[in-house]
Amino acid sequence: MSTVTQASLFAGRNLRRFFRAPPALVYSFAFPVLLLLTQYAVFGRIVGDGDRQHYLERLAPLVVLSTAAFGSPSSAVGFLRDLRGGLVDRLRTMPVAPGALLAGRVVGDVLRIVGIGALTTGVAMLLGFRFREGPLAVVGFFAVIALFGVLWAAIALWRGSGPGDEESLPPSLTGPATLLFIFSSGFVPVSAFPSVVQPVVRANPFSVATEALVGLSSGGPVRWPVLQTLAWVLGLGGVCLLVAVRRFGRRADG
Amino acid sequence: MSTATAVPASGLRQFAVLAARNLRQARAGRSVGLTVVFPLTFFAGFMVVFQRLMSDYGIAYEQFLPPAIVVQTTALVAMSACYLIAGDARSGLISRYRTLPMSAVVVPAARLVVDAARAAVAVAVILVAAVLVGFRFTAGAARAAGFVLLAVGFAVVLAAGCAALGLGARDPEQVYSALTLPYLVLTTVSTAFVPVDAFPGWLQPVVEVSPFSAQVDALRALSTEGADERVWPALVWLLVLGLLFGAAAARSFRRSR
Repeated sequence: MSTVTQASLFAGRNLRRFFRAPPALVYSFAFPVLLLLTQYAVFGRIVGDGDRQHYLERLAPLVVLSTAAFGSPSSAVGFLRDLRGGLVDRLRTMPVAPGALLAGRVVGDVLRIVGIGALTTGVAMLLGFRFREGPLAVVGFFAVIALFGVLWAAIALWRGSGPGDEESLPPSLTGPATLLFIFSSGFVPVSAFPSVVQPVVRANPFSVATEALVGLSSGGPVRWPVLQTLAWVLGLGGVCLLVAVRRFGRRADG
Repeated sequence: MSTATAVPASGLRQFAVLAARNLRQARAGRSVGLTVVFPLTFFAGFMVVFQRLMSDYGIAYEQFLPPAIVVQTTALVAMSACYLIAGDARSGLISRYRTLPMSAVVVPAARLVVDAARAAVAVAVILVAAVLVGFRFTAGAARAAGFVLLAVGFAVVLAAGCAALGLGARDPEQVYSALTLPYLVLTTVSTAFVPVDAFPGWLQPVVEVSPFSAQVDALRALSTEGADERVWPALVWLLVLGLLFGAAAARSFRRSR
């Protein structure tokens, strides 16, 4: 069996496990939708300067991206359970490529993130969110979501392969993710932040990916924000992935 | 030599032992994050993000926001009570208590007193941070004391409701995750973070009847305006929810195995 086949089998397994836990499933779909609706209602007037639709153009991309971040704790815990529950040890006895399990995790996570992102985008469209840049930009929109999903899948692998337990992992991911969400240019405009914080807000991975999605939906700069997003994914995502692969290799060698 | 006969400890002693145990459990668990780190981070974050926008809207956010953070944090403390008591129920500890000659009120009382203490710590932490950035009690010392009492009372009432859910739950993790959805909606669709006129017109009646709005408005009245008619709705909600959740908690406790 080729490594690719093996990886897709693992991806399918992870997705099935996710879809077979109904409460977790409802939660993962309901949370971003409720987040979008509440933030739209609460801050739309004040942040959008009286124009809720204007706020929606930026808020919807941010909330869609947040599904990647807020899904990472359960993914990290899933990987931790694989490592400690004996699945990895069992696989060592079989002719399975070591990278297949990791690749399967990343692919499964990205598919889930894009799926939930599409649903959340659908709800945003009911509120009046529109794609104004043509069909190619729509493809680009979901490609950026997938790219952002790779970043958070890598972070989940890094956290899940480290020390820490099922109890402490989720808050260690949701805490920083919530802060990044609030301190992003999708939540409030950069100009509303105190000037010392503005560079941090501009560099925030949520901000750059939001700018890319705004450019691909409502219009605006695309190339530079996409490159910045790519830098975050290759930089931070790459480091996380390398650490996870090393830890995984050490474990697989016994 | 006399034979030792087991004399059941007095109700008060039982209560003290269980409360001390719950307190140790809270100190060992995620409680510090919940009562100190979370509210301070959220307070600082929201001040940085919204102070400028809110002052353009005509609101002094350092005076407006602390009651919201208090309500938000007391709700989280209450939610963790669900998680903690569900753990006790699942490990069989609650059934063990029920086999012992103990008064039925001791176990829930020991849970709620510790939740009240955790809520009080969180309120104190938030108020110290708030005063540092310019929050002031301008309605007198008696109303300031009322502020703290009302905040802790709200936490206890919510904790009773969450404990009722936790006792009936099979999986504490799932109940806790499920509770974050109503938490998100109730805390945001209220006057906690923005005034009612910032909501879409059709949603404003919903915001106005929310118990979370009543609570935040009462805390603001007690800290700032001193308009007592804003306090009554919160007290009525407290009484109604207290009776409802208290009865629910007693019922789940009797039924739990």
